Amino acid sequence: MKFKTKKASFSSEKQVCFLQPLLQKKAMMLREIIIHLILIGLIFIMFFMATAGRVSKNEVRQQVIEKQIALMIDAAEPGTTISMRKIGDNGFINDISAEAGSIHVVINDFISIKGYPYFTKSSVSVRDDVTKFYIDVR
Amino acid sequence: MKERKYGCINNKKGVAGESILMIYRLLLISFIALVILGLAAVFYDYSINVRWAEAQILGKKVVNCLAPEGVLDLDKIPVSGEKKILDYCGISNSGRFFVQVDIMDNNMKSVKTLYDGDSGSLWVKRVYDQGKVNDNLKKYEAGYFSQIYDISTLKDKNKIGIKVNLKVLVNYED
Repeated sequence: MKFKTKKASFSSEKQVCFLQPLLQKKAMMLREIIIHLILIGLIFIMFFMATAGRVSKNEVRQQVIEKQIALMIDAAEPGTTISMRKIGDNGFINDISAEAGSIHVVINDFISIKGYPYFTKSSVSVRDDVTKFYIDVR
Repeated sequence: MKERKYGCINNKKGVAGESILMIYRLLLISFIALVILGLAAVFYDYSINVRWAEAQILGKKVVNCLAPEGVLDLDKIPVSGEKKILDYCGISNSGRFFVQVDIMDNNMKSVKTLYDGDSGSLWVKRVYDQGKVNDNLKKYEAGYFSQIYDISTLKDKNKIGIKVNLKVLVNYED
């Protein structure tokens, strides 16, 4: 008795169809893992930068200078000019500004968000030259 | 090779599910990072209190405004100025300050009281003075200055000696 056996023949089309899901799945998984890692890395970079800014001494230095200037402005008589060196023991003062009744100091590129308020009835303006800032109380 | 439209199974539902999981994981990681950042912010927070100095400076400005050269003329102060003494002196009050000026005769009897701000700040100051405040809240303590000045006032063009009891409170800056 002869049994006719059908030979299993894998055509190229069937081979591709068999292997394609596996290859696609591996590629997709790898792509997703890479995207996950990049996004998680970005979040942690932002987190570490924010924490480093918080932990650094620049915030304390900024507080000290802002409050010093605010108290000097409050105590000053009209016609007084207060000068501050740009380079000092606390570092490099990038900018001093008097806006909406508050003094803002940018030190070592550390930006001032809140500032410190002053209450003098005189008008306050800030100007600078190469080495110093001048705060005029008029 | 014959192209099949739906030859190999493309698990589109599976891909959508993975995207949702990825968003959830990112939100969870962001939340954890924010919590750690918040803890670091609280731990490393450092506040320098100069409100006592502000209170002294403000007190002296008010006294110099009311009694230039040591003579207080009550007739110059309008009725509206009695409750807004800082406005009368041209000092802006953003709500941080409380100033009280008690004008007394030489028997320490109050003749008139001028003030500006919320008098409830004095009550809060008393609570702090009694030591009933948590350590975490001590950094919000107001700056306080109090002084009695011997000055003069004009009555029928004559100078009469009076006392001025000044109290100044500077609250925490927001």
